[in-house]
Amino acid sequence: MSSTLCCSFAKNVTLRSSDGQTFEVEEAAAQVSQTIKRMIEDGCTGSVIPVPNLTGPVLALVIEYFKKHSPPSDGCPTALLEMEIKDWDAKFVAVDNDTLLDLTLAAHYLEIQGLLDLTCHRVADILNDNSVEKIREIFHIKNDFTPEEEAEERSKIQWAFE
Amino acid sequence: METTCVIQKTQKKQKLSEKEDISGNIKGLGSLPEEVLRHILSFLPTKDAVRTSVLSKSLPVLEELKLDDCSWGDLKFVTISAPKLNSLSIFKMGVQDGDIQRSGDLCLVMIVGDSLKEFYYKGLMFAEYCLYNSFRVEKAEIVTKSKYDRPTNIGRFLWNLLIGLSSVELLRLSSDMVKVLSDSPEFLPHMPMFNNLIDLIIVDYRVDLDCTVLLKILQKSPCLQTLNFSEGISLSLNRKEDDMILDPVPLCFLSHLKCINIGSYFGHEKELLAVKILLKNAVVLDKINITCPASYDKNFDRQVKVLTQLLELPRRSQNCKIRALTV
Repeated sequence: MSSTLCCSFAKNVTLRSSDGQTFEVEEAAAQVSQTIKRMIEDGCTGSVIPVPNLTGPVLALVIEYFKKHSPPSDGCPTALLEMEIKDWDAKFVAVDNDTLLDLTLAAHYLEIQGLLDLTCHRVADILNDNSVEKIREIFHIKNDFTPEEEAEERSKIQWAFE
Repeated sequence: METTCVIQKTQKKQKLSEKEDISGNIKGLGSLPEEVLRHILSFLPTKDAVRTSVLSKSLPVLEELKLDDCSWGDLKFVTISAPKLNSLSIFKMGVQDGDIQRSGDLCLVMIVGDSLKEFYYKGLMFAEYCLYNSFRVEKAEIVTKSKYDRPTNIGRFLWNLLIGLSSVELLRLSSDMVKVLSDSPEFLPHMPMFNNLIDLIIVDYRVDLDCTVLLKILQKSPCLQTLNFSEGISLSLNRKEDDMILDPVPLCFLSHLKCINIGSYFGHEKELLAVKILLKNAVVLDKINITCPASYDKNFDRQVKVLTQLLELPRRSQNCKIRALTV
C-alpha cells in the first residue's frame, strides 16, 4: 500500500501561478508542455514548479488542456477519441478575446505546440472575419496612423481590400 | 492508480485577464511576442495577412511570401505588393493545368519590392516576373532549368530580373540562366553595375569562363570577393588558348577577389586552361579550392597527374594557396 501511494505521489507535480495559486497535476499530463517537461527532467519534481508568466485562472485553463491532451495510458488514441478532442478543442478556444490572447501567450511560454496552433488559428479566423476597424476594437490595437498615413498604406495594398 | 488534479482557489467567474499591464497599456494583440504574431499570420490567406499592415504601425506584417508551384491561369496581370515584404520565393518545379494560357499569352507578374531583401526564383517559367523598386535586395537566386519549352522572349524576362537585382551582395545563378542571358546579347549593354556584390555562385552545371554574360558580370562587380563555380568551369568549344579572355582584367581581380571555389573538376584540357586564366589574373587571391569527383580515387595515376598540373600552374598572387580535394 505504501509503495502505491509513493508511486502516485511521484506521478504528480505542483505548479504555481504568478499570483501564488497552486495546482496539482499528473506529471504525464503536465509534460504536454515542453517547458515543464524540461523542468521535470531537470529534477524539479520534488518542489513546486513556478509558472511566473501565468495567472491562476489562465493556468487553471491550461491544466484543463493538459488533462484532455495527456497521452492515453492505453496506447494510441482512436479516431473517435481524436474527433472528440477536436470538438473539445473548438469549444475550449471559444472564449472571450482577452482570454484567447492569454491562452496564446501561455501556450508560447509553456511551449505547448498544439495549443499554440489552436489559439493562433482562432485569432487568425477572427482577423479573417472582421474589418480593420473591428479588429482594432477586438484586440485593443491602437491606431497609430494619421488619417493620411492610413489612406496611403491602404492605397498601397488596395488589392487586399477588393 | 487514479490521480486527481487538485485545483485550488479557482474562481470560475474571475475575469481572466487584467486589462492593463504594468505600464498602464491595454494588453492586446500587439503585446504578443513577434514570433507568435507571425505564427498567427501564417494561418491567414495572403490577402488578409497583407491587410493587417493597416491595423497599426507596430504590428508585424507580411514579410515572407513563398509561392510554391503557383499557376496564374488566364490572368493577364498580377501585382505582388506588400510594403514590408522582406523575402519572396517563387518555386515552380512542375507543370500544372493552369500554366499554359488558352490565348497563348503570358501573365505579367509585377513585384513591388520596396522592402525586399531576398528574392529566390527556382524552376520553370510560365509568366513574366518584373521587379520594381527592388533597390534593397541583398540576396538573390535565379535557378532556371533548361529542359522544358519556354516562352520565346524568356531572354528579355530574365534580363529584366537580373537588371532589377543590381543591389545584391550574394547572387546565385544557374548556368542555364547564364546561357539564356547569353542567347539575348542585345541586352548586354544594359548589364547593371553590381557595386555591392561579394559572392557570385554559379550552380547546376559547368559554365564557360569565356561566356560573355559571365565576363560582363565580373567586369561590373568591382567588390567581388568570392567566386564559386560549384559544378565546374570550362571554356567554350572553339576556344583553344587564353586569347586575352580577361581583358581588360576585371577590377575585382585586381583588388578584392580572395577566394575561388571550383567543383566537379575533371582535369580536362579546357578546365585546366580556365583555372590557369583565373590564376594568372587574380592579383590578390588567397586561395583556390578545387574539388575533383570521387571517381578519380580509383585511378591514382590520373589523380596525381591532375593535381600536379594544378599545382604547377603559375600564380599571379604570391600568397595564393591551391587546395585540391577529392569527394
